Amino acid sequence: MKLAQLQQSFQDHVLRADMRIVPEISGDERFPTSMRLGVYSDAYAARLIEVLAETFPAARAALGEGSFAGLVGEFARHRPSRFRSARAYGEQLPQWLGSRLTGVRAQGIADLARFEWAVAGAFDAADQVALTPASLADLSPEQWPELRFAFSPTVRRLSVTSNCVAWWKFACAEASRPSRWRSTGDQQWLVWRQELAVFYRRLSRAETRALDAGVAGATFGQLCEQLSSAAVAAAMLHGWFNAGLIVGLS
Amino acid sequence: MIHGFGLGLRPQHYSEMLHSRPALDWLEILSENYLVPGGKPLYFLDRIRELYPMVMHGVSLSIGSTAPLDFAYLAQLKSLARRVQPGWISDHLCWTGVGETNLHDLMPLPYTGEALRHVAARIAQVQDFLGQRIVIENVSSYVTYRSSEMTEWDFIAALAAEADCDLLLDVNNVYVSSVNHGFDARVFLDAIAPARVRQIHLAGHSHQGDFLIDTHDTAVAPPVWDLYRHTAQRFGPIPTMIERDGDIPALPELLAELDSARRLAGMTTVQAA
Repeated sequence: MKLAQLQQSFQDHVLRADMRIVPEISGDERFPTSMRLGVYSDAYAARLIEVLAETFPAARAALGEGSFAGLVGEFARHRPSRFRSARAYGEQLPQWLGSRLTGVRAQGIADLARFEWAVAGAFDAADQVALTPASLADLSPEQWPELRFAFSPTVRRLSVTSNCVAWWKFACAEASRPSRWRSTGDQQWLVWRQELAVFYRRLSRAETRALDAGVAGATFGQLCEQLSSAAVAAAMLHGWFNAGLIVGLS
Repeated sequence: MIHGFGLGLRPQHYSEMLHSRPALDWLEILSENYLVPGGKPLYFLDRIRELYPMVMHGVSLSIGSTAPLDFAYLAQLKSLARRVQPGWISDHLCWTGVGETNLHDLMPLPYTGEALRHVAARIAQVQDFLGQRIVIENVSSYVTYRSSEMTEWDFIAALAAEADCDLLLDVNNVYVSSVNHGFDARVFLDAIAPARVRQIHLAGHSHQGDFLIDTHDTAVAPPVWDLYRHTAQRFGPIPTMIERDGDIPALPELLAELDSARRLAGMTTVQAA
């Protein structure tokens, strides 16, 4: 068997128990071929379960270790990794979990995993120096209406339809066990990093719209219009500066 | 210049590395942990690099794969090397997937002339791209291909000469494979030309029935220490480190283990950084 065919056969064995590789492998009574190949098949799922458990500890805690391992093991076989980094492979896990579970918990677990993915993304997103409110001091009144903002690459915005953040706090031992997964309505959350620490907070509907508009390139004048108040827009902007969300002005 | 005894840098030890500056000659980083845009990993990397010389060790080169080389990865590696200024860059003699799949494992190669020519040509490409000689590590393996035409040690010795690359000798991997495949580990070591060996890895393994799994989650086992003694005698003062990836203990435990390596190699301990 040529090298390319050998590798394809071995990979097919690891991913879906294809048997073409078997005659290519020597075995003995002490360490039979099936057991030798099994080391690689078992290690594939085990490694991804281990890495994704580090990225999604709250989803793992909510599901239970066995259930998490079973679902990630299925994920690893049905959607093999195409990522160089095993951690990056986690991007599709929230959707997978949502599709494999049923009931109100399905959405909750998927939301929880999306929240954890946002935290992981903010953790090692690009560094950019945040501006302070003092950056606004020299602007003339004429410049304000056309002012646009560049947001930190660490900013992540999530819409969830479950009580997932309460479950996340429970998993982090920061809160008691929530009584339910269902949320009274949609929740908007902001996740970001300031210096080395990752933060999160719930957003009002008004701030969500303003933040989304700001990220999309809206001017300060447009934000004032959207919020029907220059004072409200200015206060919101002040909060964004203080949180380290703004890294550039134009 | 890298010499003496080091450890693999792990996030669990970042703060202690900075604050207690343990007595280490150098550190090995896992390259992939720092191929990220920013945040804590790069913050600590830069600060710890100010204290210790480093080498870079990767798991994604897939030098033995028949899939095309990943030049985007190599570009990232080159960029990280500009930042770290490592003593050298190493990866494993293995393949990690074909097509676009990544098995996230160090899959063994058959020891054939075809594989030798294939890997040597790819090492040459990588060395040209990175502008430096790379260091290739022997892996632990659990299968023997019927198509193999030579022993692992003959393959590695021939590869180093053919590709003009250096070698990272993982003594634990030699031992694990020797048990799993029933060969004499000393014969392996004695076949390797000392001039090619730039670095030595020591690590722990686990027993699974009659065979061994390279788990890196336990202390270095007594038979591996015995083999290291032989290695140190044969190869002389090669930079040596403990590689621990699971159940990572507190730093003093790893430093004590490293002192065992120093004693076996007949070296004295170094002063704190």
